[in-house]
Amino acid sequence: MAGTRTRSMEEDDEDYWMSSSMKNKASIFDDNDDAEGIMLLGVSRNKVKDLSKTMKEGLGEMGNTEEDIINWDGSSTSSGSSLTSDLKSVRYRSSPTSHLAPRKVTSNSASRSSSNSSLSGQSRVSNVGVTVPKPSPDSLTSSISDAVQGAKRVPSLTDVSKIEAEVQFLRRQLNLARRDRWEKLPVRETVKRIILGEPYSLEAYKSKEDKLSLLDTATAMHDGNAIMAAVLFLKSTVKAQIFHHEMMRRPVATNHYLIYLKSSREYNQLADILGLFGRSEEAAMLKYKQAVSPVEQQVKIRNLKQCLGAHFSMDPSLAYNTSMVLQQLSLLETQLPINEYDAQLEREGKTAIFKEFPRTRPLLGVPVLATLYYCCFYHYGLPENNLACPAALRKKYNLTSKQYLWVALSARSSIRHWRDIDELFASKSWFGHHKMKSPVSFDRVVDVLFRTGAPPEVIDKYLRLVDGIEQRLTIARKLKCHVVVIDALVELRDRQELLNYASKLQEGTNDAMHAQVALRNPATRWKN
Amino acid sequence: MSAPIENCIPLPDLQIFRQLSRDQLVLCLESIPGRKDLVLEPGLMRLLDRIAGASLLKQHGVDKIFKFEGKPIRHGNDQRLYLVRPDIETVKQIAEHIAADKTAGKERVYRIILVPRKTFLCENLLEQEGVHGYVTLDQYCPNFLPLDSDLLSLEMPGFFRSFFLDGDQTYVHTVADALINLQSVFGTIPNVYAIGNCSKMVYDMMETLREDRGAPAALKNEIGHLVLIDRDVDYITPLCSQLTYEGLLDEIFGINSGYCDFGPEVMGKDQTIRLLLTCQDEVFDDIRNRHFSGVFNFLSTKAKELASDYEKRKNLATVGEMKDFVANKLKALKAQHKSLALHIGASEHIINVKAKTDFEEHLRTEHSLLDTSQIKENIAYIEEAINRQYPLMQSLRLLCLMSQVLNGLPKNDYEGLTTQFLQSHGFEHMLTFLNLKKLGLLTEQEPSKTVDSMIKTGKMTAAGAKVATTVASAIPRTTSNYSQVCRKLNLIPKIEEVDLKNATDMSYVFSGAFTPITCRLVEKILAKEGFDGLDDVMKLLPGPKFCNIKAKSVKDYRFIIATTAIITGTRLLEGVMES
Repeated sequence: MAGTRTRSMEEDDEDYWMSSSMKNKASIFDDNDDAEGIMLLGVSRNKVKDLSKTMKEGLGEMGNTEEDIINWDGSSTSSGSSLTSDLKSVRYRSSPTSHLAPRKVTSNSASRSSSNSSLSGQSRVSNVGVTVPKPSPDSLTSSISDAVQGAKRVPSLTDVSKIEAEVQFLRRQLNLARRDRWEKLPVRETVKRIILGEPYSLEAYKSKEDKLSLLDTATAMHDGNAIMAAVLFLKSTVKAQIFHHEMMRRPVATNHYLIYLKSSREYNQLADILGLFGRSEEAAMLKYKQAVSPVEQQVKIRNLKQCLGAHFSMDPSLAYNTSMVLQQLSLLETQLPINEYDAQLEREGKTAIFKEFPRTRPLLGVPVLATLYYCCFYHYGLPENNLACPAALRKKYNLTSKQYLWVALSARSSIRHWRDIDELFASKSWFGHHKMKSPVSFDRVVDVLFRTGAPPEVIDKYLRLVDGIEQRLTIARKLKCHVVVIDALVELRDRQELLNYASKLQEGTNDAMHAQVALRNPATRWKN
Repeated sequence: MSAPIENCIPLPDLQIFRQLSRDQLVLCLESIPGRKDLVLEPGLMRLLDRIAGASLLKQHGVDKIFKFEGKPIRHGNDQRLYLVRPDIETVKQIAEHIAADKTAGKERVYRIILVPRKTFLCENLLEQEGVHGYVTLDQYCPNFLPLDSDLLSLEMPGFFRSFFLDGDQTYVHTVADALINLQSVFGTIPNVYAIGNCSKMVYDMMETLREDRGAPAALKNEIGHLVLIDRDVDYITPLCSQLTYEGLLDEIFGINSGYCDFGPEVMGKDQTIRLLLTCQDEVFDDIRNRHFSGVFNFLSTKAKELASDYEKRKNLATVGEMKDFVANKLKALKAQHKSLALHIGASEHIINVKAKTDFEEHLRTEHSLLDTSQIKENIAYIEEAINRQYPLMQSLRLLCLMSQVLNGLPKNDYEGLTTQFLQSHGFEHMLTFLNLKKLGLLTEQEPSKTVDSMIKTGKMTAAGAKVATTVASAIPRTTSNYSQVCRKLNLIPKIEEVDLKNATDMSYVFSGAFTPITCRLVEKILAKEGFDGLDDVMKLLPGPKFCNIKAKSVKDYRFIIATTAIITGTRLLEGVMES
């Protein structure tokens, strides 16, 4: 299959997947089970389904040999032995080449002998590490026990070099330990200790210059942990004014300070700092996030009002955000009374629509379009002065004609009020002539109707409004709207294809009769 | 990373890292001798699954394993190990556990092992909470986890957000450390290339760490080149829909540390299975990289072959043959059968899910966006996807993709589309859009004069202006940035060049619509062994560029991919949303 990318929208659906789907074009119809002719990348769903079924049945016959695998979360899962037990199938190195010989590996967990040394148990990354035992190729159990033995093994003569390295390391540590605490180490040395997870002390850095040099060195060495330590040390040892002044010139350090504030939930200070550093959108949105976090709708409304006044309306650069927050506020305020009223109607049980279609959830905290859908479903045709009137909602939230159409169409189709749908598209021309018009193309309208389970006659009606006979034909075939297919073939004067199509229709059905009538019509001038 | 092929020597055996991680885990477990309980953060379970097994934990004194859920665990052993990420919230809850035990008069030994790193903030917090005296703190830094024979992952899904969104540099060290460990096993990598901020930092950190560890053991280099690339160099690739079998599996089911969970929708009965996806599964290995359009044919051929293999048992003449069949062939056949059934079931589910969501229209839009053609029609489709409330991830991916290829949306389109999105999916997504803007994933085209005018009107202090300028120049994207990169790296192949069934061009993963930028960059860099001739492309990519070439090498390469985490478009964007 050569390239399958289209460069033009005019090419229709089927051509998109070119040759592979061309093959399937014929087969959609052959396969009677294929109710929707659904395909993905040229692969027919039903073919896969059939094969899948066969395979599963076959598997059942054979009986399952299953064993449990490790299961952390307690849910019972099982799996076939040969598929999942990776631990058994791990490919260790098969020959004892140089890689397999016990090899020095740097290890975090440090050697047994040093981890409890005087360095207050800090584990340290060192050259002295665990000897990797030669992995045994057969199974998990033996390799783990190897690992365990390896971890407990007494160092042999071959490890002498390792021990020497360790001695050197300890010697160096001892020297450092002798002079570290009370003596001012070069800042780079201290930062390195932080990076390596060694013990360190910052209290010897008394001058502002030293503190800043510590911070700048940490930043230059790119270690977030050291930056964090330096920032908080600075903050706790100089006055706020100096701290802010210095932070303002150090965006990386500022980020780390913000992370600290966020993780310790000091939101007010976080917002203050963001505001101070000119990041007003972030500050406002932080406040917004807090405002909308309560579940209770009344509280949310109160919070939002307060937040809007304090952080949004004053700032012209946040005009867009402000308009969105205003919409949200108005939506929350609109939902409350509608929800309350409808809940009461539902409780009373006198209103037909609530009896027939009970509400699945309250109309609270849902998006604008979901609210519109709800109102199109339960309150279609209310006068505009009613809160729940769909047209009023449309105006209030400045919705586009497409937004309104998609929602109204799918809601009215779901509730099976076809006349409302006709009215959605009805427009009168100057001469009083009725014409169907839509802001979206009719093939998409058909798609919505089909997905909401509209009956064939409704689909047929809108299918006939699809522009372009080829497109109409393609969709009609896909949706198995036989009458539309037949009429389109007549319009194309393609007698051969019509004969072919008619031969596959079940005899005696209206569709088959329609095809026969069309084929016998002497007025048609067939092209073949 | 790339390892030169020398007479087709196999890739270095990456499984050794699992062994190393396992040994280190054992040391952590043995740091409290005797029986103890393990409290494990859910996010680390799959990782631990791959490194060790329950039996290993038991061997080292772990009695019960609890899932860390924040609630205090009252019962259990007198010794307790917590294995968690260094998250302040988590550590705070642990401190509360300890305090609750104290109040109840329960004496216990606690040890918190932070993965991958002990942090200043966590230690500080334990001090503040007044429990520092009762608990010891340690760290466990797993090595790269070999997810497959050529794929290494640090399994740090939070890395992208923390570094690129929050500017948190805490884990630069972790990445560098893992790469140093890799080199202590396979020898120092002579040639290093770094593209982007984070990559350069990792390189610098490796140098810092090396100072301390001294000269590495004189090993033969098994890996010749290391190419470090930041994620923000190429957002487009994860935003596109991958069309290989494995890619679709990941999008639909989610692959977690190499495990994929299949439920009843695949099994056809009320049962779930956890499948480990590696090249050990022959059927999977055959189809993982195939374009989805070719997967089904392959599977059905395979099924027919299998059926005929089964038939052979009917022709077995002697008892000896029968014995041989049962002893040797039957098990393999059953395994294959089971594997086939699973993968066919999974393909079926993929088709079902994708059919519900207008996938082909989505793809068509995606591909024409990559072409930067028919922007008006594409906007119309994105509007439709938003208005019809398709799964929000779908619309969001298209929005981000459009912003990437156009270097930001024009102000009107930006406001129009985001407003409709908020009206469809909730105003809370304003927070998502803010994060996307900060990351440069979805932006509004801004007239470049903004910074200047702010200085003139005196609204910003001098220092503030400086910051703003550096931020602005850190994103050197000009209006035709994407098309230039495309042209210079030849990212969009001609239609006739791509054969999806027998793929020779890497763009096949996107049906030939696009070549992943990172892959092409690596190809070009290795061809020149440096950035020669790539200067004009490098100018267009964000962040600093750096290369250090010490040795020339052979020209045939095999590749090992090492990453902080495996990403898909969905995971990328989910990671960016506010909870």
